[in-house]
Amino acid sequence: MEEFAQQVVTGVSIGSIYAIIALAIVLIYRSTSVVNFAQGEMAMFTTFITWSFLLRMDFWPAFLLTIVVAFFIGAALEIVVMRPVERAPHLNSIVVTLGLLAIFNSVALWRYGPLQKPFPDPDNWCIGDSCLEIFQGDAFTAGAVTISRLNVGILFVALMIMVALFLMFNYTKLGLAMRATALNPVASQLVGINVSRMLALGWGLAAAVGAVAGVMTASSLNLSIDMMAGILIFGFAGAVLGGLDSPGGAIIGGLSVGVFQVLAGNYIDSQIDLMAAFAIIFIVLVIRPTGLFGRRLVRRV
Amino acid sequence: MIRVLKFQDVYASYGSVLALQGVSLKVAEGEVVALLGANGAGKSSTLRTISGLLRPSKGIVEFEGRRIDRTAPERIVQMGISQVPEGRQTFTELTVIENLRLGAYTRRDGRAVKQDLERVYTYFPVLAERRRQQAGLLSGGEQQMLAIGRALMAKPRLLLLDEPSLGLAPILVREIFEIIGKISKEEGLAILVVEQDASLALGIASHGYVLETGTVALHDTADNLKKSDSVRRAYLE
Amino acid sequence: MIGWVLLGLFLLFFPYLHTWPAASSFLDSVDNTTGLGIGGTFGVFQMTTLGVWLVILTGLNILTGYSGQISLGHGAFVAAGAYITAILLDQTATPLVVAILAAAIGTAAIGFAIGIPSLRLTGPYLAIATLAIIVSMPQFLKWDKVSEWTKGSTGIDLPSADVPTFLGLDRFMDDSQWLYYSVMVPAVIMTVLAWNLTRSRIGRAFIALRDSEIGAQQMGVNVSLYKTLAFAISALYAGVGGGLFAYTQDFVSPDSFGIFQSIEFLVVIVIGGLASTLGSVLAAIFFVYQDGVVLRLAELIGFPERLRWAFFGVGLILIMIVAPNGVAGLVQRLKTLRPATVLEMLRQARPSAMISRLRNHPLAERLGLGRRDEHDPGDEES
Repeated sequence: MEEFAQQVVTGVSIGSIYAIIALAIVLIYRSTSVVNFAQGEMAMFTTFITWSFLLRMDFWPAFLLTIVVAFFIGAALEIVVMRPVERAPHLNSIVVTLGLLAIFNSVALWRYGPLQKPFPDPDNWCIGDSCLEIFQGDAFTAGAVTISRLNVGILFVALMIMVALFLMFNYTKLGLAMRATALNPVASQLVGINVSRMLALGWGLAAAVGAVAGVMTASSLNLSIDMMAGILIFGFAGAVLGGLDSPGGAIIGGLSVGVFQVLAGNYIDSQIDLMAAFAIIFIVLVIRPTGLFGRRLVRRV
Repeated sequence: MIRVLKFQDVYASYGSVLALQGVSLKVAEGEVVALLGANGAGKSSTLRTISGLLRPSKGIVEFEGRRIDRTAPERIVQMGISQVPEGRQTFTELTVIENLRLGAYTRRDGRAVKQDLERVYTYFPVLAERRRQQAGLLSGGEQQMLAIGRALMAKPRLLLLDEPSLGLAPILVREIFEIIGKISKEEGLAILVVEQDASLALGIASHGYVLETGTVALHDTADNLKKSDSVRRAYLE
Repeated sequence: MIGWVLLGLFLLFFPYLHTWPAASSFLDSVDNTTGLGIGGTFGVFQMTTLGVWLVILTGLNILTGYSGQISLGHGAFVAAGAYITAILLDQTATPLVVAILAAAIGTAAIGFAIGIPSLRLTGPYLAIATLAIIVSMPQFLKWDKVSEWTKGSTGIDLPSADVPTFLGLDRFMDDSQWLYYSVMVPAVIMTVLAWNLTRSRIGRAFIALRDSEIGAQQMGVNVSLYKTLAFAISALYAGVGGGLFAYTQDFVSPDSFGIFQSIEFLVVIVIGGLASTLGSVLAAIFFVYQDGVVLRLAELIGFPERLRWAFFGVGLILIMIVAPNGVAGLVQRLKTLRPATVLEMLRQARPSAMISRLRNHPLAERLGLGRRDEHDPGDEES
């Protein structure tokens, strides 16, 4: 039983990064119905931006500054690149995001090179002498179950983003307008919402959330240009599992994918952990075609 | 009378399909104007052009003396034109009160918004009862009331109504039209109403336009239109 | 008609072109300037792989372009076909043709089996479900339980394909030419078959259900049947393509079929043109030759080699903006051009009209350069 609990805890810690990326994917999908394949590479790229900020400043200011920069990169992409294909067939916008994937990957390769970069581990996440305690110190243990401080921290960050977004969407005028835009763009225009601005904002937010995921990934693995490739796929799986239009679903979906992956590796066959995890996802989708928490699709003739 | 809306020789199209071919019409302050015509005559396109959803290829649209034919939809709402679109288009997954708050999205005067909310509730008491419910759970008539209430929340000086009777039981339609008439009187609000049911629209309007294939075929006072043979034949009987 | 004959002759004699000195030096000079890679034995080999990808991409276009179902895991079907062929050739004395037919049937059956549970999934949900298949594929192939046949991560090494001495064929052609014909013949046949299929009742049913499932149902199309059929047909094509792949490369391994390859399949058919046979052909050309051309362009313009994918990405985005229906759509539009339309386009391309369109771009509006209430002179003349 304790072993099982440990597996779940490990799964949840792996899954928390998937959950953040899944959340970023959902933020774009629910407002524009575009699945952003560049989400992972955008996160990778902004993490390199963090890294170059780190050469000049402490961790937390660099982190916050990156989030702001990422926000503007995301919003700019929506305005410059996505808007011209807004009315084109659906696959076209997917191809455009794949183009962005190639661009970010290649620009990062050119600018920062193929080698891994050292990324400060959480013990050095400070401003001057003050550090954020949740990330530091020994692993937590409960009986035989342990979880590292970094993983606790990442999980905490994922939940914080979730809470912040929940508050924004449900208790601010801007959040209400963003939800309205996602639900009915024409009616939103008719009440005076600048729909284009909301879409740009959605991309900006997603890029900012992705930037957080990137920094978390770099600190648990290492900073390199291919660090997000695998995570993006699991993030996708998480987003789809939860339901592409449900932010809460994205978190739960992302965490579940992590847990599936670990459990499948341990209880089925470690050689086929991916296969088993994806088989589970496939089965869940066949039973619930729009994910666990997704809205039912309403299709018109 | 002060002119609120001037629509002068307006052309507009969807891609290669011409929707408006030189429509001209006027709405003065505080008056209710009916826009009649068959399906595809260009009634909804006229409203969409006023709201900025459809850009005219030619012609002039003026609101209170300012050109709005190149203005973004959200600016137009801010300037004082609200539309209740065809098929109501409420945000079905949001609550009634969220829908109404979205109606006041462009406004910054929080206290006045609260007062207007109360006023919408007095026009449509059922919305007050159901304020916490999802709009999608309301009946068709209630959703129509919500759509009108939402438009009123922007504190417009010109209200555009697109087929408020669509899909509603006759008794509800009469109730809604009564309230529209009342709103127009009490608020001094100019209203341009598109309606299939000409007798209803002409009942509250002072004058009306009849559109045919994208042009104005007829323009007269409501009383004369009610008597007019061609209108009777086409839309009243 | 003359065009078709010329194309046929070109395809027929292409492998011998480089043996003729004048033509050979011409092909080489084309390669040197464009980076295409059509000269010499390498050129023949490139054309051979083009045939392989043509079969695969034609199949994917039936599934995605015609029936409207997105598959991000098409490489898994290709892998299935390649492995079935390779295993049969490696461990039994099956003749090539039989092995490829077995691959076609086996893969179609797998397609059918995957198509049925996928019936309820649409759009991104289907895309992820199919992505799941391609992600799991390498693990499955490396798995202990099946490695007796698949040879695990080492993959299956086949003897390289030689010209059969049968009928004295070896006196007329070398190995590369033999491979060319053994791929090009089935590739051409299958492309023509697909072209016919898409214009038949089945093809029309696919299009109907792509445009509206409910509409198709009302027209009497059995939606479930046709959706699964599209999966099976496109898997059959992938199976044949995979078989030809194994035969021409004489090697298959779990890493021959990555996720990014499957994504690239989708990208090239969208660029080539969905729901169009010409689109599939263009997609295959793009798939094979894009690499060399982009590299060459990089050289010419002088940007760093590491930026070549950025260049590719920018190209992708521009094509999607300029030609939303792919290059085939663009060609179609050019074909229907009449003088009046050309004049109209030129008129639209006038500087003042361009500027007014630029000012309508959302970015311009954001920067305050867009037009607000003033009137635009460019539109008044119409």
